Amino acid sequence: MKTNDEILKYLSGMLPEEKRREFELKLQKSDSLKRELEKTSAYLSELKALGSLQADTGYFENLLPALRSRLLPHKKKKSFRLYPGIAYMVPAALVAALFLFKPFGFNPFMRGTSTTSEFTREVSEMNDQTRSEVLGSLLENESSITQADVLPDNTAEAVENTMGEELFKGSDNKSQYLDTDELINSISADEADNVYQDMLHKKIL
Amino acid sequence: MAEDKDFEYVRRFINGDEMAFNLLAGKYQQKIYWHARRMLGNHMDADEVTQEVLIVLYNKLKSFNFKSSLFTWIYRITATRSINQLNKRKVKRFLFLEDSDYDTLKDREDIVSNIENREKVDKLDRVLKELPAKQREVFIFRNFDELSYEEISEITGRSVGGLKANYFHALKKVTEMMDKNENE
Repeated sequence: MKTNDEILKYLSGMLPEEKRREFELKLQKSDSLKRELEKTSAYLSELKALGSLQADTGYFENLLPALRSRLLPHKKKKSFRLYPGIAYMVPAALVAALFLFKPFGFNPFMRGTSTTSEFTREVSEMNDQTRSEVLGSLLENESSITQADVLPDNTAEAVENTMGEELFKGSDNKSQYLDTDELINSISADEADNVYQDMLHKKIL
Repeated sequence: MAEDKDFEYVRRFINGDEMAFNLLAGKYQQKIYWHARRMLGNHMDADEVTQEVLIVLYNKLKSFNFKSSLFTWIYRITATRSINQLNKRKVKRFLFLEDSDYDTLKDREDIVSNIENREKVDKLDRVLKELPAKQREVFIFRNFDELSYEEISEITGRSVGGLKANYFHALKKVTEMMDKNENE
């Protein structure tokens, strides 16, 4: 056993009675051991002296009155503290959630429709009014939603194809999108003259 | 004798004498504060623990069973609250929930304002801070509160053998630190 450990065990009261007596005998014979013990005891006394402080008495005099006011029933103030930790954690949790759901095919931009075929089937099953509403909305946002990084797989392409098919399907849709040049070229000079006269007669021109 | 006096105050408080509580609080508040202060290393936390202990004392004194001494009971509450406060602070630090001005506040609002005393308390804090909570607790109980192992065992619920081992390790670390400081 190291000398220092033996001294510390002696001071800690860890030595059994017999070993304790042995150590005390050794202590009487060895000056170096005695010096070592005195040094350790001096350290402890120094620490003890550090602990005996003169504190401001005002604190202890005011402790009870302050406590009394805390003990009296009072309305709990509602306060909101923005902890910086929470401020970091919330966005981090959202980002983590996005990564967690990504492998399962979750896409916040395509609610309920995850594949191209599903999207095409859903559009074809819609009634005319709903279909035109959906396609109208897609047309408005076409530039943003057809970007490859926004829509998964080949959905962007499928959206464009479906929109194309739907727009040119049926006579009503066709009439809305006929070219003006095509209309002018499709009538003869006489027919055009008649239309002109008719418009003059009705005071349209 | 002191124990009889404590019991008398408790009985008076149970019978509705609020002054008896003031006398008890006045007697033990410094012991509570300094134990918490040495355990936690700053005034702010020690003040919080002291107030908590006195509130618990006020609210639970009526259920005191007179089987153990009052000071053991008070020290048990103080020791538990101090360890809880240490753990709370660790969790707050881990989650970045601690106020950014915590370090400034804990130094500014101190009851040890005298420079000489300030140096003493800082030196002691530096030494105690290096000890793990259980070793620190035993070291404080033995060296500053001057309690026997049996009393500490009654307060903490730990075995005397375990406490001796804790104290031995604490002493070892403390003497090593003091040696190192002396040689520098």
